[in-house]
Amino acid sequence: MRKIIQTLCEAAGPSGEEKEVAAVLKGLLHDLFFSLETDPLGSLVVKLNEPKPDKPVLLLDAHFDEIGFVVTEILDGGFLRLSCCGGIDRRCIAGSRVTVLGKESVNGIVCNIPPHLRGDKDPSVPGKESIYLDCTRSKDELSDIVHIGDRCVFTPNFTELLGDKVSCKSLDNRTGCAVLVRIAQLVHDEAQAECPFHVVLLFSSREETGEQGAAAAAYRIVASEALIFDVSYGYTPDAPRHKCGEMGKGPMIGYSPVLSRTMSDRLVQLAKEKNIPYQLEVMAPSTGTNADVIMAAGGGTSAGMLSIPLRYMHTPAEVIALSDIEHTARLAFEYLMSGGTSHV
Amino acid sequence: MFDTIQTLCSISGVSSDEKRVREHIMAEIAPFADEIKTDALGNLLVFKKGKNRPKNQVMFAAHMDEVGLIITYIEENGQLRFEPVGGITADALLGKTVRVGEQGIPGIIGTKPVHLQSEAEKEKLPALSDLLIDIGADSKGQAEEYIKIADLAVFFENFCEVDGTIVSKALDDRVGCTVLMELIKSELPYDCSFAFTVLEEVGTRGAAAAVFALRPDIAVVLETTTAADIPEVSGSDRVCLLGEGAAVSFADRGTLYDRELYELIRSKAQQNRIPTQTKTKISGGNDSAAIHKAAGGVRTAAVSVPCRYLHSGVCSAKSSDIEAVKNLAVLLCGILPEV
Repeated sequence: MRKIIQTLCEAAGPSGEEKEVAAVLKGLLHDLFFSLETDPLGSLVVKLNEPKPDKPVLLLDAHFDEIGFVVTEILDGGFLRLSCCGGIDRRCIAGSRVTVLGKESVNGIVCNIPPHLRGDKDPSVPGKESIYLDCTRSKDELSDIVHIGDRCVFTPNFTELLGDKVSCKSLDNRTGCAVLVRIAQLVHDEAQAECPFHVVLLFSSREETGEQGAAAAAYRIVASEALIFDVSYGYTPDAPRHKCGEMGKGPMIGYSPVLSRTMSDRLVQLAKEKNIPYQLEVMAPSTGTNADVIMAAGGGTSAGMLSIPLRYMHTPAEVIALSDIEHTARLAFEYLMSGGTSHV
Repeated sequence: MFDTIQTLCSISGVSSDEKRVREHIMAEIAPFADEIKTDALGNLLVFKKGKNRPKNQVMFAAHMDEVGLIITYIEENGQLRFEPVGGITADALLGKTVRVGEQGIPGIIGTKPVHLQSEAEKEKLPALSDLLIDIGADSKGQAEEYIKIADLAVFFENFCEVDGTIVSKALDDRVGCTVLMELIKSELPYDCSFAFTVLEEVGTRGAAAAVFALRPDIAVVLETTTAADIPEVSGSDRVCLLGEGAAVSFADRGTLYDRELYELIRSKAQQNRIPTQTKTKISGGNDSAAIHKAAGGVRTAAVSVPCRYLHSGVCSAKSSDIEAVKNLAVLLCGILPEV
């Protein structure tokens, strides 16, 4: 799983340009699916088994785009002006390495005003539209390779911490993608009986910039039930405890007015029965994730959510515990093999 | 020379913990030096004979220490509290990776997610004292298996060179140390002394002892200095520019440099086609602050490599400027002993 998550995180997939991640996923899922296709908004739709008229459809969603930047201006001296795409924590980016996805990849450093020029003022936080990237090349050289509108992501920086913790850019939400890959493996390797659902994996595009990928795909897929996999807040001492889960303590089972309470209860029940560690997460009035648009698409779908606690969300160095991926995948696997709740 | 810079930059040597840097330098220069001594503070003092005896005793200096962090406390949840060693601000640390202790255990410095920050919080950096290092430990006990209080931490090394620009932690001042090593390894026209100092980043606390031991008439400090030639900074605030050559200072916050030396260095450089510039803002400081007033006073000059993002993990300097500083230092070895 370490290798899978590293490979997924190292791929560049800013919202709206997720092709590279789709290619990686196609490789990871290579003999585990029935069919695979890309939809008009770039989402990857993977059918794990053959659709059958008597089989209800279960949609498993994880967004595969990551936060990033877009080039808005090429400046003298080999600098670029960038705007944010997605809710980046701008306090954490000064001095970070960013990769510009031009004709070739160009690496740069986010500028910041050095201390001696700040006087008594606090160090400043770059504005949303005025992030400067130092690419240490001439403007002419840069203009050959980079154009306005080119997208940028944080430069990959996978690091192993103690225990089973890992850090990298875009763990939000390659973690969810890794869960789906693991579920595909479990269905392939361990499903003794036939799967009661027609299972569709949706790697949705554009979540970070408005959830449009999931909204469009869910309309096409028409599922009876959906499980959404994303990351949620991993507790750190400066955060309100009641809004966070704890890394390493298992999937956060979501409760929310937009989610199906029956599904939430069933997931808790299954976790207890199968001895899978779990936590609860209450989100009101909605979840702030793809679940909000998936449940409302088309004729509507019952939706449940399993989130993995993650620290330092939307920064260049996010952190998760690998065991949480395994437990989340296993709980979802038990759910789908037990037939879910929609036809109970 | 650039291989040496890369190797030196990869070594952990926060102020007070310079021994690994010193040992590496000693091993490299031992065959070329006539006298090598480590003083009570850890300064590495080197004397090398040249072809001639000089009129003036000249000392070149560069500091071995880098900025970093010191662990002050281990929280019950396994995260580490720290204080900066040297001038590091929160923006250089937030979202970044560091290495802690002898084993270089990786740790992340982060805060609560942006989604849970107020609009005001999003625009304001937290205080350093509010930050914690996360090494992935789940408890104090687990953390204590790998690190201990008073361990030092450095920026995660990530040296890279693109298109003539070097990006790394600790260019300040392993670049200066490298130039000193190059001088020691070469044939010198006059006897010369070299001081690899300690504790510069915490108040230039090592250098005066080096002067006390070596008693130079003239000192040249080889350093890095802040270049702010980035967007939204204009005019004199840019201080000095990458690619425009060695920055020779006339003044900074700690020193009014010897005027004659300053003018001599710039004119000799020009005569020898070595590009130089000066700092257009009186800012920063270095070992000169301690050196020029030590042991009765020393005529002091500073020659620096312009460097963006000093005191962060991504110090950036141009190889051409580093070459210029080295070439200028070689030139001065032949001039300063006789002025």
